[in-house]
Amino acid sequence: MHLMFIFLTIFFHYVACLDYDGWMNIKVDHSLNCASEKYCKRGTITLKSIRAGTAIIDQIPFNRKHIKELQELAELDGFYTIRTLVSTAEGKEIEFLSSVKAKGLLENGLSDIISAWVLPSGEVIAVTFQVMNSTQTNALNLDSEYPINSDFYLRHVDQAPVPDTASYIQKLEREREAREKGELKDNRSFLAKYWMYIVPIAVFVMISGAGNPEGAAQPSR
Amino acid sequence: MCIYEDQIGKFDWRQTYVGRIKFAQFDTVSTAKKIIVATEENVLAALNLKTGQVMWRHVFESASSGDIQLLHFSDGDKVTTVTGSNPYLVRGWDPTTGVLLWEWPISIIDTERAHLSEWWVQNGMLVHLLPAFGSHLEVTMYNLMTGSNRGATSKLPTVWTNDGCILTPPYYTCISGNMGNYMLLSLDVTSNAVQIISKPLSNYFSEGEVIEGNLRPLDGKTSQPGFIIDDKAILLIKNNEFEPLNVRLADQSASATFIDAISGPMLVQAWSDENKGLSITAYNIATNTEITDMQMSGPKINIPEAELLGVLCINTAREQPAYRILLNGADDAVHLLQQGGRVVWSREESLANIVAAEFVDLPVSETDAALESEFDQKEAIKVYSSVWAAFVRRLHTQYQQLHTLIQNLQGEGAVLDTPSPLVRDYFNLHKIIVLITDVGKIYGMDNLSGEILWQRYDGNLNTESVVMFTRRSARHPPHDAYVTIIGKHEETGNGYVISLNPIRGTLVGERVLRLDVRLLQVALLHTVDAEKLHALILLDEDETVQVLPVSAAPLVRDLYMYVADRETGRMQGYALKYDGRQVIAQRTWSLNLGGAGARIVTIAGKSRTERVHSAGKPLADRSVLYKYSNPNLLLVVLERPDPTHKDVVTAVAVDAACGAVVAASTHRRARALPLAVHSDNCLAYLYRSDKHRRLEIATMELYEGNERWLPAGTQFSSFGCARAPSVERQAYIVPASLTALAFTSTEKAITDTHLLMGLSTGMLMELPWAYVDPRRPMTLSGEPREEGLIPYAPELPLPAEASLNYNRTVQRVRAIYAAPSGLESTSLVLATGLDLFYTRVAPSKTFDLLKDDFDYHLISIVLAALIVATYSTKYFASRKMLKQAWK
Amino acid sequence: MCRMLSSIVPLLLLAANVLCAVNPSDDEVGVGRYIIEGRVFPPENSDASNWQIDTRIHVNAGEYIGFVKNDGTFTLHNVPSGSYVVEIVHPDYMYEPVRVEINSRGRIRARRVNYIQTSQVIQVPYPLKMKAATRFRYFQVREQWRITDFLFNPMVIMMVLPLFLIMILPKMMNDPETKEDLKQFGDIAKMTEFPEMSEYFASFFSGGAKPGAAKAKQNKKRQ
Repeated sequence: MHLMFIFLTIFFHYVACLDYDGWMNIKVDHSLNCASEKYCKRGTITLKSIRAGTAIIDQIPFNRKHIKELQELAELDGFYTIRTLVSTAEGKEIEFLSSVKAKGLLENGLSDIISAWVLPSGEVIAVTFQVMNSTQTNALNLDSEYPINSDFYLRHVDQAPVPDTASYIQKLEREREAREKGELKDNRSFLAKYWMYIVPIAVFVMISGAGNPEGAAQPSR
Repeated sequence: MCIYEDQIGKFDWRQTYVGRIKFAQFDTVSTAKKIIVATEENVLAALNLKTGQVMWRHVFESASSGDIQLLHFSDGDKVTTVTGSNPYLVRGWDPTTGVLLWEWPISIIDTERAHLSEWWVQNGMLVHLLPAFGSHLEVTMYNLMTGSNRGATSKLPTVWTNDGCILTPPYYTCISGNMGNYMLLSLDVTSNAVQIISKPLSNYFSEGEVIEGNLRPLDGKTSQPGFIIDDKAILLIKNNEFEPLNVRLADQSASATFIDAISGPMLVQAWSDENKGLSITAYNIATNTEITDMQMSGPKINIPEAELLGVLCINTAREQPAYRILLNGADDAVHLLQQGGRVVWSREESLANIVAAEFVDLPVSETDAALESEFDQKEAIKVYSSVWAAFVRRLHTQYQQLHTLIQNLQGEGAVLDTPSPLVRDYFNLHKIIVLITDVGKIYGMDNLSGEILWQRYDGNLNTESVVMFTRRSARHPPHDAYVTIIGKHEETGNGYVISLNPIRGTLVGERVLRLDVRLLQVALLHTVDAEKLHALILLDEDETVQVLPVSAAPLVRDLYMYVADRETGRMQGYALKYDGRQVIAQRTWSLNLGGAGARIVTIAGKSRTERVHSAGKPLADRSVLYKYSNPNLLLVVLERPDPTHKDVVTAVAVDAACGAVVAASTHRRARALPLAVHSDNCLAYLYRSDKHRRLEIATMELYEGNERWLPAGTQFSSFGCARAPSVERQAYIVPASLTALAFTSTEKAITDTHLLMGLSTGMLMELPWAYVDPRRPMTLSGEPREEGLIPYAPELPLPAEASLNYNRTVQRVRAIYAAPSGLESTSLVLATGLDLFYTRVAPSKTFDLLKDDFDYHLISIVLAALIVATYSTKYFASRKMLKQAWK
Repeated sequence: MCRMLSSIVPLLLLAANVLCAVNPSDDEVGVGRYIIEGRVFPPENSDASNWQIDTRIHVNAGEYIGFVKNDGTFTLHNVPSGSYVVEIVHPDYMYEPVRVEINSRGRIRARRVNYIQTSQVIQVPYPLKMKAATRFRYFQVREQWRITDFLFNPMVIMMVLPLFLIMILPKMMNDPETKEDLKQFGDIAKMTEFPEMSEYFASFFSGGAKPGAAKAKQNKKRQ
C-alpha cells in the first residue's frame, strides 16, 4: 500500500512535468501615503503551492488619506504604482513594478486584478496589476475605510506545441494502405454521373422537335 | 512568387560586393587583366582591372574559421590562400577561372599563441613563423602544393623579439633596447645560416630627433623588404644590410609602397588630408628624382584615410609607362586611380555590411502639388472665399496640365537635356532607400535602378544599435523630407544624432548633434507640430528626457517607452508627460522575463506605419472571430541554459505600455534564432530544436473570441482591458536554414501578409501565412474547409517557384526590408547581406493592375470583328427582306 | 501481492523517468578532426564550362564551406565529430541534402535527411556521390493561347451549336426524303395529343362556343 502511494506520487510528479513546486510569497507595496520612503506596505499574498494556485491575500484597507491622494493623482491623470517583491523557496527576492491609472482604480471601486506569470521552473517572470474597464463611477466617501478587492490569478507559461509528426506519419501510412488495397470506387449510377450532359442534350432535342414538326406541318398543308 | 521568365530584370536588380579589401594582388599575365583580392568579409574574388567588376568570387565562412590570413599570387603561379584560425586550410586556386586546385590542412598544437602566426610563400614553399616573444622563433616550411613538411620545425633563438616586431618577408625586424639606446635588429628567417643584422637606431635619425621606436611595414606587395620607423624614416633591406632611403615619409599617416617600375625602383606614397584631399607622390630611388606624372593632390577626390593596396606599372605602346594605383579608404570604398589622379573606377564596398535601411517617398511634382493643395480644405477655406474663385483656380490648374501634356508630346522627339528631377510616379513605386552601413557611411539609393544618388561618410558614427526615423515625409511641401539617424559616438559612446534630407543628402535641422550622455531609448512622437515634423524623444541613462526640437515638449502626452536589458532579460517601462516645464519620465513597470540567467535574443515590435484592415476573421458558420489588436504589443524571445533541459527558449508577448504579459510559451531543448516577426495579431519566431536537430518556426495568433470586448469604434487603451486573449499556437518544421525573416507590408493591409525568408543557400523565399497559420486543422472536413484553411502538415513546403531571386543568389542574407508602395497589392522588398537584391512582391497577385499579358490584341480583334459582323448582317438581312417583299 | 508490486514499481519508475528525462545527447563535440569527402556530378545536359565555380558545399548551413575541384571532388577538412547536414548549393540545380554523422571514434555514416522522422536511417554511400536531382523550376509558364481553349469554352458552345442547328436543320428539312420521314414522325407524335392541351382547357372552361370560333380562325389562317 505504501509502495503504491509512493509510486503514484513520484509517477504523477514526473508526468505533470512541472519541474518545481513550492511556496511563493509576494510582498505588495505602494506609494500612497508613505511618510518618508518611496514605497510602503500594502499587503501580502501567500501561496502554499504554485501548482495548486490558491492564494491568501491580506491587504490593508484604504483610509481617507489614501483615497485623497488617489484622487489627486487621478486629477493629474497620473499612475498608481505598485511594487512587489516575490520570494520563492529558491532564494532571492525579485522586484517587479506595475502601474494602473489612478482614475481607473477609483472608478472601479478599488478592485483590481493581480496576475502573476510563472515559468515551469517555478520562477516568476511578471506580476501585473490591472483594472477592469468599467464605466460606473463610484463616488467614494472620504470618511470611511474601504477595503481593496483584489483577484489573484496565477498563470503558468505553457509548453508550446511541437510539430505533430506522429499523426502525420500515421495519416500517410493509412493513405498508402488504402491506395494499395483498392481504388476509390465510383459506383454511383450512370445517370448520377452523367446527368449534367444528358439534360442539355434532351432539352435541345425537345426544342428542335417542337419547332420542326410545326414547321414541317405548316408547309405540308 | 511565381513570376514568368520574361519578367526577369523588369522589377528586380542585384548588386554584388566583396567587402573591405585586405590583400590585393595584380594579375597581368592572363589574358584578362585582373586584381585578385581577399577581403575582411572572408571573400576571395577577382576584379577586372579595367572596370572593377567581379569576375569570380568565393565566399568563405563568416566565422573566424573563414578569416583569410594570407593571399599569395605571383605571376604565372596559382593563387594561394591560407584561411582559418587554427586549424588552418591552405588552398590553391586557378586565377583565370577561380576553380580550386588543391587544399590541405595545418593544425598548430600551441593554440594560445597561434594567432601570432605569420605566413608567406617563398620559392614554392609556405613558410610559417610563430614567434615566442623574448625567447625564440619557430619556423616551419611546407611544400606549397602538397603540404608535406620537410623535417621538423626549426627554432631560431631570438631574445630580442617583442610584440612590436614586424615581418617583412623573409626578414623579421625588431627594435629592442631601452629608451635612447634603441637597436634595430633583423634576421632572415629562411636562410640556413643565422645572420642577424644589428644597427643602432640613431644611425638613421639626425641629432635631436626624438626616436620612439615604432615600426610599420610598407603596404601592398613590395618587391624589396622594407619598413618605416616612427612614421618618418624609410629603410630597405638589401644584401643583408639596412639601406635607408634619402626621401622621408611625406606625412605621418601616409602609406608607402615600393615597386620595381620600368624606369627603376620607385617609392610611392599616398595620404589624405582634410583640407588638401588626396595626395600621391612617387620617387625614383635609383636616380633620386621625383616622378612628376605620378604626383597629384586634389581636394575633389574624397578618400578618407587613404591606404595604398598596390601600384601597377603597365607597359604601354607609348614611351611613357602607365601606372595604376589601388587605394582603400576608411569608408571601405576601393578606388583605382591612374597616374595624374583620374579615378578609373571605384567600388563602394561598405554596402556589403548594411545595418539599417528605410524607404522614403519622393516628393510630388509641382503640378501635382498644386492639384493636391486645391483639395486641401483648410487652405481652400482660407484663401478662397467664394465658389467662383475656386472654379477659376480649377480652370487654371487644368490649363497648366494641358500645357504640360502638349509639351511632353512635343518633347518626346527631342532629347532630354536635363535629367528628370526626382518626383513621385503615379503608383508611388519609385522611392529612395536610405542605407546605413556598418562603417558609418550613409547612402541614398534609387530603388528602381540601384544607383547611388548621394553618400555621406561620418567616421564618428558608431552603428552598433543605430536607429533611423523618418520624421517628415515629402508629402508636405514646402517642407523638405527629414530623416534622423541616432547612433553612438565612436569614441565616447554618447549619443550621436544626424539629421538630413533623404532626397538630396544634405544636412537639415539639427544637422550633426553630439550629446553628452549615453542614450537608453529613442522614440518618435506620434503627433506632429506646426511644421508637420514628428519630434524626437531621447531618454538617456539618468532617466531624463530630451526633446528635439525643444519647442515640441508641450506636445508630449500619452507616450510610453520601454527599455530592455539584453544580458539579463529585465525590461522596464516609462510613462512620459509634460508637466508644464519639462518632460518627465516616470518608471511605471518592470519585468524579469525569462528567469535567472536569461538573455534576450530578439524583440519584435510592430512597424509604425502598420494598419489593421479587418477586425476579425469570418468563420464558416458566418460568425466572426475577433482579433486581439494591440498596437503596443511586443514579442520578446529569450534563451536560458537549464540544468535539466539543455536550453530553454521562452517567447513572451508583452504589452509595452502597461507591462502586462499577454501570452507566453516555452520550448525545451531549443536554441532561439534572432529572427522574429510580428504584425497585426500574428507572431512568429524561429528556434532550433536540439532534440531533433532541425529548425522549427512557432506561430501564435491572438484572438478576443466571438464577441468584441469593447464596442466598435472605441479607442484601444492598454490600461483598460485586463482580460487575456485566447492564443492559438502551432509549430512547423522548416526544412532549410534561415538567416533573415520579415513580413510583407502594404499601405492599407488589405492584401494577405506573406513571410519573406532568406535561406542560408542564398535564396529568398515567400511563404503565405496560411501555411504557418496556427489554426490549420488536422483533418480537412466541413467547417475548416469552408474557411479556406490548408490541412496540417508538419513540414513547410519550400518550392522553387516561391523563390524571389530565381538563380541570382544573395550571399549571406542578413536582413530583409519590406515597404509598402502606392499600390495596395504590391510590397517593395530589399534583401541585404554580402549582396543587395531588390524586387517587388505581390502576395495576393496584382489584383489592382491589369495583368502583364493582357490580350489587348485579341480583344480588339474580336470587338472589331463583332462590329463588322453586326453591321454586315444588318445589311444582308435588310437586303433579303427586300427581296422577299418583292416576291 | 506486495512482492508483485515491489517488482513492478521499479520498472514503472524507470518508465516514468524516461518520460521526463534528458535524452543522452549524441552530438557532443569531440576533439578529433575528420574529413568529409565526396564527389559532385554535374547535370548531364549542362553546357556550362565552369559549373565548378558556382557550386559550393554547405555543411550545417554555412558552418563549414567546401569547394569543388575541376573533376568534381570535394573535401572538407577539420570537421569535428557530430551530425551535419551536407548540401550542395548551386543556383540552377537542386541536389538532395545528406546527413553525415561522425561519431567520436571517427566512423562516418551518411544517410538521407528526413526532418519528419529524424531517426529514420536510409543509408547513402559514403564517400558522397551527389547527383543533380532536378533543375530548379523558378518560373511559371505563361498561358498559351490555344484554339482548343477557345472552342471548348461553354459560352462558345452555347452560342455556336444552336446557331448551327437553326441554320443547318431547315436546309436538311427541305430535302424531300427527310420531309417524308418527319411527316410520319409528326403523325405519330400528333396522336399523343401534345399541342391540344390549351384547347382542352379552353373548352373545359367556356363551354362549346370558343372551340368553334378557334377552329374557324384556324381555317381562315390556313387559307
